[in-house]
Amino acid sequence: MATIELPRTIDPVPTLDSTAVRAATFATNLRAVEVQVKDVQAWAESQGVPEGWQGDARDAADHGTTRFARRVDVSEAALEQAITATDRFEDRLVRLGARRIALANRRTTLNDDVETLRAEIEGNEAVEANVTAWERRASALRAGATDLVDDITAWNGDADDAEDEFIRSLQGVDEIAEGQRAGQDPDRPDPDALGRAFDRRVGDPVALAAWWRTLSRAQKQALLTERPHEIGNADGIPVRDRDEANRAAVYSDIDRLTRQEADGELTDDERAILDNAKVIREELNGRMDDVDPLSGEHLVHVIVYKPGEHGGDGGVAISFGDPDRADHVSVNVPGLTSETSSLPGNLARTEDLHGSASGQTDGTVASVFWLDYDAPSGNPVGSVDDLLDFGSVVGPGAADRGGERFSDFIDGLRASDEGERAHLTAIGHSYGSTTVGHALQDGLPVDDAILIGSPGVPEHTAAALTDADVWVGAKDNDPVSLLGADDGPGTLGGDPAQESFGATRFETGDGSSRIQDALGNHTSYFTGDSLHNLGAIVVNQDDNVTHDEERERWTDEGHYQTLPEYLVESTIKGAGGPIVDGVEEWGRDFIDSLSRGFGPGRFL
Amino acid sequence: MRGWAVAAGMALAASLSGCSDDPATDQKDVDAVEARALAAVDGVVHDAMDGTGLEFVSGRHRFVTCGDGLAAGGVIHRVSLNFGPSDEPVEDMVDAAASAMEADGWTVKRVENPAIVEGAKDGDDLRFQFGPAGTQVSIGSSCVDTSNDVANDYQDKGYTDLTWK
Repeated sequence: MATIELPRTIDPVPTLDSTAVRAATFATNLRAVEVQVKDVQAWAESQGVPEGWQGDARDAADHGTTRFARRVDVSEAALEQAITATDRFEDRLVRLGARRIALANRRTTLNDDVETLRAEIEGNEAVEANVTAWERRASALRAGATDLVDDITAWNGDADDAEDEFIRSLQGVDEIAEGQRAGQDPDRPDPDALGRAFDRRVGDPVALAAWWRTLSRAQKQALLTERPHEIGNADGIPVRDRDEANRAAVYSDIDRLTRQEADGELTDDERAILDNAKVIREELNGRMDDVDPLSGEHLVHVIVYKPGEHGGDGGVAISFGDPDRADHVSVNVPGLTSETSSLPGNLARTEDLHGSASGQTDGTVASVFWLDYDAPSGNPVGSVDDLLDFGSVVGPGAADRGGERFSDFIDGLRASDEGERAHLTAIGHSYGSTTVGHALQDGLPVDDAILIGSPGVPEHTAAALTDADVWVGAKDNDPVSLLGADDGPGTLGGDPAQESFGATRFETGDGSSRIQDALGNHTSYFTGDSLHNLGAIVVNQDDNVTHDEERERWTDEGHYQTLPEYLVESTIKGAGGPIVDGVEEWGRDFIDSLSRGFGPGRFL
Repeated sequence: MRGWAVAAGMALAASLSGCSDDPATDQKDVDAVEARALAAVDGVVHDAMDGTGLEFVSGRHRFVTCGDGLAAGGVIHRVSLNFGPSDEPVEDMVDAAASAMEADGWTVKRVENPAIVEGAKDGDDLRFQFGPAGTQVSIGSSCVDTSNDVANDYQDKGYTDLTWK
């Protein structure tokens, strides 16, 4: 019998020494430094000659500040090139990583095929009839092995080239003379001109997205560090670029304000910014190594960073997954008591939703937490400002204004979306559902809308609210979800869980019927069956959703529990518990304060 | 209508002011949940991952509140572990993780995504997600009831790094 030559087992594809995530982190640090250098340069350029100085003193001062500004510009130009080089290196690592995965898959398949053929041949050598077919398969495997080894060699070479080029780029700007040359480079982007072009388009996400695509990498990076807060929050800019800008803003804000704090020069507003930035930094640092299992890129993206807005509560949006490239995108809007300081719990819930949704599809998923409106928050037994903030929960004003901002954000995601249009779901919890309701009323371009624990939405039917499919999650023992129902106050609109509303109610469980557990019921929609259903809706797997009956006022079996009935029954069941005691004590204090007037050190 | 608003506001505000559980008891319950999760890292997670040859990248754990700050309601303990890329078929690693969980008494759940396997035990959820560019393992507890102060104190501790022995 002729000898059949099988290719040798292909060795594993080497791993990359550098990773895209580490390169991204390095780029973030460079950008944060660049932002601060630009701040220093702007300060230097703004320093005129002190008033009243004349003659040589005036010339010297003028010369000094001009010269200082020029020197700072050398550092700035060098950093610009280093950032662009790092950004390019990160992208190359992502592409190399994708190629490596493909090569590793080919290797696994080829080695398996070789072993399969070897097993077939061994022990059957005497069966001459098989030899021709075996030889044909072996020949194809040998050719495949040769191609694969060549491709792995080429990939290795490209990986080495990427590292070499990156190192050369950094070495090319590590001396003053090289920085000076970089500063005088005629191709150096002009951030002022770019800024003017940006200003003309901001507010129009489609136009902004189209213009952004025309910019070179260096132009994008220059603008990104020149105006990080604006680029990071501009609807229509790709999410990955917003993330880069916002991370630079977070870290540079913390550095700058921490120095001011040490110098005793921090205002109350700046204190709020610093506190909010630190909360976000903690969340980012804790997820530094979380990568997309398929691409190896950062899993977490900061899409909105407005630490000083909303009366110091701050605005923020963070995603798990990349909304621009995901097949399925959800954006969840929180409600009462939400502010940047409540980010840890809110992000954990969003992460759980991402996990639930990802488990129910083999497509890609991005789950966004969005809090860029003045959600009612504050401590109702704190300051007057806090009480007013908290008290806004009884009216739709904050939801209406928030709905407009939410619409702008969604328009931005639609504009920066890549590839096929994503399946997009808006989720509103508690007062956030009222906010989403107002956005839906204004034509929010989503495919599905989920309202959970809703105190009410501004229309009495789903059809009047939106063209999207409307889903409702409402625990019978969640009193907030009964506020818009019959016999409820209805200050925020109608109950979307009612049958007459026309939405689809999914299973959430009813929760404990004791008054002590009322808030627990209201805040536990992102768990258990309810979470599973949320994930199914997000990835458009409607068949996976378990349904609950919509609330119907009168049926043969009776009627659903109204809010007055719930309050009476749950209070009886919870009698003697700590919350009930708390209610009684709070009520006594409240009445006492009313009778004696509010004053410092008293109730408010 | 105004009466409703005041009544609902009072009830909600009073609820938000939190209950007066015994902090020592709360802490004991919370610490037990943390100890259970860390034991799972040293036990079942090691059993599942040791045979894969995947490189350990980092691990952290922390507490987050069940609800929001003023209505924290309790805490959830969360563990997150990251591992490097793998060239092995994810199905093989999912099977290995499922076997390790079953051997340790976890109820295993296969989901639609073939790269993910989940387990449940004693109120904890354990999840493995394998991928060619990285693997993530997470453990999450159910909500442990505590006073708001205790919950917020635990959350404020932030992340703690985990070592992989």
